[in-house]
Amino acid sequence: MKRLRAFVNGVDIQRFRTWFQLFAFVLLVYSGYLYIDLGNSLPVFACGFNDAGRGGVCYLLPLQHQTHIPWESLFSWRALGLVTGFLTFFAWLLVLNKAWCGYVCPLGAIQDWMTALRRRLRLRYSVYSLESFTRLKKVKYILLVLLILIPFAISNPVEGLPHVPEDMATPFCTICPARMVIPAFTGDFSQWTLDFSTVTALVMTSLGMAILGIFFVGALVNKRFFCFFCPMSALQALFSNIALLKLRKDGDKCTRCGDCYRVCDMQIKAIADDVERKILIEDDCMMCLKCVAACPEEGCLKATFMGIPVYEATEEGFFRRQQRRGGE
Amino acid sequence: MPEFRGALPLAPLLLLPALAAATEPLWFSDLPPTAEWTEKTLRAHGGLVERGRGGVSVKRLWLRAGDDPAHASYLPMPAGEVVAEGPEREPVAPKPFSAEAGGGIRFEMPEEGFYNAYLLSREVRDGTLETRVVKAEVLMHSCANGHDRRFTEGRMPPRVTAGVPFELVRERKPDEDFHSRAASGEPIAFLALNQGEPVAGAEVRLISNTGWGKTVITGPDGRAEFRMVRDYFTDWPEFDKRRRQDYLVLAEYRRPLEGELDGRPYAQAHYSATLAGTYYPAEPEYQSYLYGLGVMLLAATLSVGGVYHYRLRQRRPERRETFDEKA
Amino acid sequence: MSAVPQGGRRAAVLAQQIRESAQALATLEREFPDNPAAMDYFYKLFHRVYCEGERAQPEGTLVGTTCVQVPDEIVRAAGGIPVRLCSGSHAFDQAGADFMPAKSCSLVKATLGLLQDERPAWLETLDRVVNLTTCDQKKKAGQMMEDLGCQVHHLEFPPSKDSEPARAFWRASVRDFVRAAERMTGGRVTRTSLRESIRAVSRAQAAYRRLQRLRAESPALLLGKDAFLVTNAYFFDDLERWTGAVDALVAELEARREAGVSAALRRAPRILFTGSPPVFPNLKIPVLVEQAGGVIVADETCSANRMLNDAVSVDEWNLYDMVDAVADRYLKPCTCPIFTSNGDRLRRLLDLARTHAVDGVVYQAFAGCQVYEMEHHSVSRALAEAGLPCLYVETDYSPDDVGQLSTRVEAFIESLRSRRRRSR
Repeated sequence: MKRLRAFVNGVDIQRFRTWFQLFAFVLLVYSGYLYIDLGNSLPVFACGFNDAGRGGVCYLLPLQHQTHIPWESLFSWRALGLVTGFLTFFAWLLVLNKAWCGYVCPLGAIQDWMTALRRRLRLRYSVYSLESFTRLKKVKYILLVLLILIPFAISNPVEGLPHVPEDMATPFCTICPARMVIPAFTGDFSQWTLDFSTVTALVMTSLGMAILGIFFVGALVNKRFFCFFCPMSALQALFSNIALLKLRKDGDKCTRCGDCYRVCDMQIKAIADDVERKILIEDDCMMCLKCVAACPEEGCLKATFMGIPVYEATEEGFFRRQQRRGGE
Repeated sequence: MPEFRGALPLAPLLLLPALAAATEPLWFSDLPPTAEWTEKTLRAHGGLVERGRGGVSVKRLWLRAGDDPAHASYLPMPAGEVVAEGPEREPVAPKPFSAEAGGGIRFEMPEEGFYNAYLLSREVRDGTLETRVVKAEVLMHSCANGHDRRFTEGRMPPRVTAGVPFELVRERKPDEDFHSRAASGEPIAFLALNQGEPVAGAEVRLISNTGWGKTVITGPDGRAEFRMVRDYFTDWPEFDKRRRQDYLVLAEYRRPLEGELDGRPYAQAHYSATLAGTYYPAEPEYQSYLYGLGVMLLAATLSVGGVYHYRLRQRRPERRETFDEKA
Repeated sequence: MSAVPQGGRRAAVLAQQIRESAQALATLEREFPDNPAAMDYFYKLFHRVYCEGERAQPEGTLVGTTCVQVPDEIVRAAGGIPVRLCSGSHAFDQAGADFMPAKSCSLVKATLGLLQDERPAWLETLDRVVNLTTCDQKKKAGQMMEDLGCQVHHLEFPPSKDSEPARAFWRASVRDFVRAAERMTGGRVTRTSLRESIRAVSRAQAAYRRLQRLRAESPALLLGKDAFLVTNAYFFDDLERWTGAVDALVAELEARREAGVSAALRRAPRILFTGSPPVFPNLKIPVLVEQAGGVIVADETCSANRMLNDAVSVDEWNLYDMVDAVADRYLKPCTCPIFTSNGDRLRRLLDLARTHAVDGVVYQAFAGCQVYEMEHHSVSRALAEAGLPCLYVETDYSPDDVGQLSTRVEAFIESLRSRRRRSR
């Protein structure tokens, strides 16, 4: 047992994660061909527009459909879909917490591949200044609120206010780069168009394509560029406290060397600076556990599942990784 | 919905059986005759439905007469056998109804998939056995029921109903699913089948509600293929990609057949079948890859420029902070 | 002053330095029984370098550094060999008094004294120095080194470490240093050379951590005076050879543990050493502590723990990230008292005390080292809150105060012993 634990803690988590992500990517993007269906409440960007290959659907798509509901129906059987959808989403989230982002999300994997490409091109990455970071991280909450409110407003027009056009029924999907990127992996480029049918559709699809362009450049320059703005991440963050997988820190052991902060793709400063909190899952965190791998202090950072440590920072593991990595 | 509002003034007249000219052909349509009836409907993936008890979708099919889908009249249900079948071949018992503005049948659709409903009639006229099959193929799909592809694919293929002497079947496209719609400018094909066997030499006529029509004689495979007309041209501000248009397909054929029905002999049989459907503007009519890629590349180029500029500025530390001289 | 008497004085200084080194080494080696055999490497190394003036390093340009926060990895990657110039010699301390006021830090004075004309043989060719702008005395010493004919790179260090601007400033400073190091050595910092130097230092740190881990055990397996000698050797020894020697020591200590051999009695009070760095031959206080029956099991000083504990962590093995990673490692975890605030030092001390089952803390402050003197207050308060007795010793390199100090140290150790007895 002790040896097994030492082996696990010595693991090169990046390599493990890369393979896990590849597996999850194939599962979510291609397994539809094998009729695998994990339902439509997944807490990751398993894009529903990937009709042919999808092995499950991102919860935000049904959520936008389900909130497209008249007020009075909220208290009828029709709200049942909303409730069961959320409960399923919650059950999924409960297991892996934000590790869904770091280990399963296909759009996250694509961004990590772009990071790998940039690394091989030897282009340096950019980071946000602390001020812009604090400002930008609010965007995802705004998007989350909008993607619930807009469909609801379509179904519940308010007297005196202009009607929200039906083309805004899935407002977030229209501007989400996953709608274009993920179906493209099964050869479906049908989403890469501008829709001229109405002004709203034209504006929204233009916005979508512009965001796609920014996504390609952004993800090449910033690690996990899109994840700062992801409303799924915001939705997860609201409930991440009760999930079973946790990232814990023993502040007493922390030297605040900042190794964890500097490897963090999401630029989470608290992971290095906060020595008070015992559970350190910030809203941007994707639980990739790179910080744990980068921590040389024995037992300072650890991931636990229902209280049982699954991956822990160890001196031995750190120095082993340090020698092994970087062969590229 | 202007397509049927135009028919409204005619409706009371057409109810009179005396106007025999407008009583043929008969077909089923889910378009209600009056705005009052329209208000009771909801738009679903299979067309207009009503909400029944327990949230079950209920389909109401109106019987119409005339070969112009835009102006066909609404009729009360005549005598005849009504047969219907659910997606799992389970028998469905449609209830006939009559309203001031016409009549038809209505049935519940608890299952996902295609429901077939028929109005069958046979009579001998002038020594000919006239067999008429009015068919409606209705899709029931709600996204709330999920999109399990194994399930969907199992329920996609068209079915023929045992005991129906002659019917039209819309051929499925290879990648068709419950969300697919027929589109203008795209091919659409029908099979003329007699008890499931292809009928060669049947005359199949497709008529759109803009008055366009085309006739095709089926080959040995019983197949009649059309390219749906592109007949929707409008100024951009008025364009509606969800604009519903109706089409009507008529098929008939004759063959020598000797027999007797209700004591009346005949020497040949004449079969006729109808099937109605809807089509919508095709995506290429309002979607553009070129502009899409253009916008994407523009945004990407601007981003590259922005990043480059930012990095250039970062190289000169003294420029990082700027002050507002006017304040 | 004429050149001849000056030269004569210099030769006398050097002779005195050799004498005091030999004496210190004799104390360390002979006055304690049962030293681990693997320590012989270090005793001999010090004898060769300090008494015979032999060079321990391989061929290459020596680059003197005056602080542990100078990024060694970059000097090595540029093809240079970093040598830490901080000296513990009383002879050099006295010689250095020519430059600095009498009441300034012994360590800074000794370093300046070392760099005057008559140097130990192996240091004769050294004329490139990296001086870090930490405390005032070190800052000013940089200019004096220039006056002594050294080519000095003044590596600018921020006065605070918590803010992002400080981090950005230091990163820029280290990036400039990459070029400066290349100019000093004529070599070039490449992706491969920096990666290899990071890994080589990392291997040394791993070895140090293994050793430190053994020191946490009770009864103690290694005396503090030996541990300080080992980390002192890191100042000038060949990196790979040093790592090998530490590994050998670790192996021997592990074998001793299996055999039940320990370096101190189980009831010997366990001491955490902090404050101004003990540098050979000035191991006065550690020796006094251990002669009095205590055992130093951990330290928080820049001649040992602070120099070797914290590791570089690289995310992308390209220069842009490696250089920044090296920069971060030399700023963020640093517990040097020069910074505006120093909660990290307190937390570090408490963590070391906890993990090493420490009974008391010895706080050494060199007379004239204002920053350590100033932090005494907050540190002793934090230690008192944690229930840890602390002995604050203000001293310098002169041997004059040994008698008085030994009484105080003995009394402190005795009080710790009785405290222990009481608590049982």
